[in-house]
Amino acid sequence: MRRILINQTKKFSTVVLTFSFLTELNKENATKRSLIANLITKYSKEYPDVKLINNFLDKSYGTTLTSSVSQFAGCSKITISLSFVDPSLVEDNNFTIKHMYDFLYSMIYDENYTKKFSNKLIELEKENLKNDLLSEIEDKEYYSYKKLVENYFENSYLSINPNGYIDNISLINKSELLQEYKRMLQEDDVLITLDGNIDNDDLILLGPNTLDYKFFDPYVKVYPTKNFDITTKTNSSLSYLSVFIDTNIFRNDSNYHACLIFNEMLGGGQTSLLFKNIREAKGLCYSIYSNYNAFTGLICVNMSIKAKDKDLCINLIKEQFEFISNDNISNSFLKENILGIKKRNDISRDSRQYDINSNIYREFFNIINNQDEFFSKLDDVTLSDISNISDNLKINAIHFLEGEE
Amino acid sequence: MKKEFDRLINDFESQELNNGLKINLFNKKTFKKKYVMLTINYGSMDKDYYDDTQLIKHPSGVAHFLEHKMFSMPNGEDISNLFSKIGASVNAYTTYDRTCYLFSTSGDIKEALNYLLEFVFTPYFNKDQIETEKKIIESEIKMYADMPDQVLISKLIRNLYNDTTLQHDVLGTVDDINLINEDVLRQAYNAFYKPDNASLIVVADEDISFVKDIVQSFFVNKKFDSFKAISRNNISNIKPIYDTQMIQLDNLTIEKFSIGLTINCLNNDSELNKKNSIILEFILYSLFSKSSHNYEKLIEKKYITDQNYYEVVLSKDFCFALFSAESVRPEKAVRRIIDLLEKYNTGYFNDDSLEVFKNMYIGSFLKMFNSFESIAFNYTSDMICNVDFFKSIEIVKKLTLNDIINFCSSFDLTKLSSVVITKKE
Repeated sequence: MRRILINQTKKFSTVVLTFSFLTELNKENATKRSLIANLITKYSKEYPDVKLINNFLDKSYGTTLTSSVSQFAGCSKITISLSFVDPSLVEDNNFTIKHMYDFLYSMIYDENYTKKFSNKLIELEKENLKNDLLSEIEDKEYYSYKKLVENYFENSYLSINPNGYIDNISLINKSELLQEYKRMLQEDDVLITLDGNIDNDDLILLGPNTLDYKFFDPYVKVYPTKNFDITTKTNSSLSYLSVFIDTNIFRNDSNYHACLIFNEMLGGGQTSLLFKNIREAKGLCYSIYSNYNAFTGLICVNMSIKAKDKDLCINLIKEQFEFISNDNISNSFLKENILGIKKRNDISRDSRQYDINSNIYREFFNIINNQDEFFSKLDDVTLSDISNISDNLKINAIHFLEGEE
Repeated sequence: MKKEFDRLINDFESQELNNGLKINLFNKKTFKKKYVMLTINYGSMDKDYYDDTQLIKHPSGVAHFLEHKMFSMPNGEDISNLFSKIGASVNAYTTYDRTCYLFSTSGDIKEALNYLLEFVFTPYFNKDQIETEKKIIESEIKMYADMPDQVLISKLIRNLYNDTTLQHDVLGTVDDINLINEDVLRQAYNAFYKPDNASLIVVADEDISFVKDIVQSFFVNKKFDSFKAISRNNISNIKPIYDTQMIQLDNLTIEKFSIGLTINCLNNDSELNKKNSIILEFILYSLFSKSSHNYEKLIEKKYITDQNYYEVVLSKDFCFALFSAESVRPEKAVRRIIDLLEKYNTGYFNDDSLEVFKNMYIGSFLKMFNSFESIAFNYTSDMICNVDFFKSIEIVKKLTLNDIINFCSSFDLTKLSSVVITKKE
């Protein structure tokens, strides 16, 4: 499959071009693909080393070249992206969308494997990947959340780190990397996005679309609810609490909009119940928030606290459920939260990422972001819809990264 | 640059009210988002100041504490609730040199702007709330103490600005915030929260006269004394610690280091300060950008990993440059970099590298226009430094190799502070 998604807009001062490669995600290919993502951007025929590549990017008005690996609906997605200034803003005939497209295309599809996968580059990238994976531990809040995810989705693709595994790095050799790279170029589903001030002439560059995904499965898998309370010790001064609450409500469910509002009330912002009652009233933490993932049906609450306050904080989260279940929420609080979601939706529509994501969501999940319909469904939610959601909730899974007081 | 670039310049307008408040507008057409930021020129480095002839010394962290407490209103309500009711989102942050209060919305800005002005210019301090806030800020301080990069930069700035008010962390220490009370907050508020010590920037599809009318109406019948506090006196007498300082941390995964140097900003020539900061950026670019030969060698010989960055920070009263990196042998890396800077000369740059740098600088400036937050922050920064926002493009275009050579001959690049973070044995 080769899919092209275009968004012609003059709103932004930059143009963004991305190539994404999708295949099945598994523990065996994660580390290889992570190394490949980095190796791709280190060599091209015209610019055969990092210094020359970056010299070209700097000269091209500080163009940013990035590569990353992520998990996308069960797939491993390698994304290579260029973000460059809208050529119409500068007076330079050598700086065109075609010029930038050719640069990225030749870099990705360069078949001089020997140079792209030199032993020296591979060893360097292995070292860089090892350091990147090690540094994930330094972000304590993220690390606590990651441990929660790993334990909750054990044995499913959601528990796989798309960036790879330290233990696998040394086991990978050059020929395996080459083989995976060739396979990626020949077999992966390819998604190309171009977003910005684009002429129709530029579109010819992108070539034809083809249909039929090989790897992508648009159906959301439902995972069984798990209950656990796990503690990991760390040497940090604070402790980090991450919990999952399984709502069992998904994107296509009739009470999806009520669940969005419920999450907003619980921990969506500075007027949420968690913020007001745990941070502002009791001073138990600085950082506290919740978010809702409509593909897994899970609400996740994260907070940084003192180790001794763990049980107190868990009880306070439960108290907020009871508070909502017992019809303590006012109609004005409901309206206020609906308005907050609407205004944020408005603002998010102004972002570059919204353009790119809404194209992808429409293409892959058949989700069309009709704002009028979305707002109308939010308006239809009642107080009893919200308390019904809360009635059935409990804290299912806890990961506590316990620091030293 | 083409006429499209000129259009960006025309989208900016500025006016000053009779009470001294500066109002700035960047007309961001076709966007629903509206972003408004009110900046008070009062940051953590203003902890000690003269009010008339009296020297007032405050604990560290007062500006940040004050920022947190300004959200409480006299009727007991948190101002966030009022913003929330109209679908706007309010926030704030404090740095070394400023406190910024901001909101974003897609709705009408009139009501939200009135709330913003009301809470920033309505001091209310409640003893119980202050005690609760101490616990919240203590948690915030500890959270940053768990971030090695934060610890590194904080220590570097402490060493660069040793014995000045800039050596204190923005949040202060736990001991110091426990000394803060109602009187301290009120005293700081009364000294610094004045319209003539503040500026407003609106990034939205609005008309400046509409914004000005709202702000003017708010200040009708409100009297403020002129701003007269004098602070930052000791920034000129910096005595950096030039030795490499070592910090040992538990749970560190990869060792890191940071080197920094300062340049004096007290020549009252704001344009020259800006030019010097750009030259400094070019020097760092020629040494540490991925397109430099030195960077390639530093990576190849494993002095640094690819997790590294450099930046130049310019404010009205201070300017520093830093380079930070992860390293498997950080002490040797610091020595190698000092060595590079000692030998820095015309062999490290030429016309081509300067031209590439100019393109990169112009491109970064243009990219900034994608972000409401970056426009507001950078515009305000230049205003604080008394530099015209678009002047930097003019300065960078005119930059010559001689400018760089002259700068290098008058400035000692080897006067460096450095900090290394290693794993605790």
